[in-house]
Amino acid sequence: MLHKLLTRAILVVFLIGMLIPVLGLLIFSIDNQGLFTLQNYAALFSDPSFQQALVNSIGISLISVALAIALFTPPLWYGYLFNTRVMRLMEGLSFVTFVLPAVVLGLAYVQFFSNPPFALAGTPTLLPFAFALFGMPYYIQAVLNRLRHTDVRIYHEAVQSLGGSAWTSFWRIQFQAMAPGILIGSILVFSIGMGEFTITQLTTGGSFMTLPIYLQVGFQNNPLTGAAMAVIGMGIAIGGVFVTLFALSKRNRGVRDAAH
Amino acid sequence: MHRRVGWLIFIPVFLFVAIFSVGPALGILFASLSGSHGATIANYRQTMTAQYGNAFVMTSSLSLYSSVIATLFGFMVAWSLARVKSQTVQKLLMAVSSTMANFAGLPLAVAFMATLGTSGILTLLVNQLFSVNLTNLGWNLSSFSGLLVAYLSFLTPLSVILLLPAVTSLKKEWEEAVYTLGAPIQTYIRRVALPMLFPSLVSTFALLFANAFSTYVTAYELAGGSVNLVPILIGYMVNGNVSMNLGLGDALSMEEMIVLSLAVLLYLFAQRRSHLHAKGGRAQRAA
Repeated sequence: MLHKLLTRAILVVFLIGMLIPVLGLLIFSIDNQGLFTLQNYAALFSDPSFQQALVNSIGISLISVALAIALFTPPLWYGYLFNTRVMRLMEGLSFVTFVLPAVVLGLAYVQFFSNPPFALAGTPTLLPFAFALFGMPYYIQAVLNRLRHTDVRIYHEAVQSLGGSAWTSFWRIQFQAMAPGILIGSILVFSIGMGEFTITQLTTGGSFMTLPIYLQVGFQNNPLTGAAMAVIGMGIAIGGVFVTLFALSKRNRGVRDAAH
Repeated sequence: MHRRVGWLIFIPVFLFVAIFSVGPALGILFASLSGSHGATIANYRQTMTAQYGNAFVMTSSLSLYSSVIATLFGFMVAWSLARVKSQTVQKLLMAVSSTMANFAGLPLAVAFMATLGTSGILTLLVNQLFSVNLTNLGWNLSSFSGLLVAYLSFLTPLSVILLLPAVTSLKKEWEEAVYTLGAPIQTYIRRVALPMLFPSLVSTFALLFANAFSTYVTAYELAGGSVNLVPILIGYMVNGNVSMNLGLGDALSMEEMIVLSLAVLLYLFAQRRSHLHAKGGRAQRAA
């Protein structure tokens, strides 16, 4: 009984602790000296700089996602099915980002990409590559978890022993198994791109307006508008989590259907 | 033929990592060892002086405190969550954990300023309801303790996410066996659960420590220059806010990378132990 009460108390304390900054932010963003207002949000959406920042962030994040899909998916698929050394190398490479934090990478990029022929510092060109790099461990884990979870190798061998072609195996089994992993990985890379501040600020000096840069400048100029912007940032994070959970709940359907 | 194709598929990733990660990292290694008169370790010597040495001590302390507290509290939450029967509560708390673990950086810093800053909602509310001025009590968001609270708000949910699979992998039969033998739950936790979960706890601690040590945006926005932290010093280096030379920033970056590498090695070692544990358990059950 005491143990049950204690576990409940721990969960309540945890939930309250998590909700306090979120609720504080939400109230701060709609507070107008005791009255509630949405004018901070209205001001935000009518600001052309915000619209430009939104377009820039979405654009850069989508390019990062495309890069991640094109670069990481083929070796993961091949490595899992045919060459485990390639797969292990991919997993090993993903640890590189853990020892290379954004602030260090920013300093490195500013020096490494300052001279011709790679004079890219000061422009947004480096951003999609940096975001894809930061998303790499999450993308790799998302796709590998899918491949392992559905044990594609067994299905692939079953298709072969039943006389199915390599294309049938790839399209009906392997791709179906990987698709939710690719989706989850893409969502993770996208949300990293939408929220990344350090590299953008350090490599472009804040000259390229993305949502996080807009948030920082906005909060300094007008904390209320900045708070509204932070709520939107949080909304994006919550949206990403729910889409991921939704994709996870549908995870086995594709392969099961194909197998039947 | 197959093998060659496999390695060809790997080449773009290898080039990507080499150009955008390893190359720049090697660049700062060489730059940190270069001076106006050739190779030197002067930059590293300078990082040992009081100001920079103190930054390492401060960053390590903050990371250590926050990761230890987050690991222990995260374990308690994961333990409690695994014992909740309601699927809805479990899903809700997991969604909250996933959201809050992603809610780091700038929005989190803004949320804390809006809630617990000098004119924050909670600060004003406490003042209004209880006539207590948090600032007079010593509360300051731009201090070590302020940063600690902010770090805990994203490290704890991360700890819950990392530890929950390990906690749920504990077999119900083990717990029942302990109770059948007449021992209390404390014995089960001390003699069975904790030894089984120890590698997972260590690997979680290592990952949280690395995360805290490399946190820049939250610390920069909340504390700025008022808390002497390594990532902030490196950030100032790029932004040109202080009179530091590039080589010194490179040396600080290299030292930060060494600390993070040690944390990642600890994580990998603990993960390996955790897998060996699991394999051992499976082998025993099979026997």
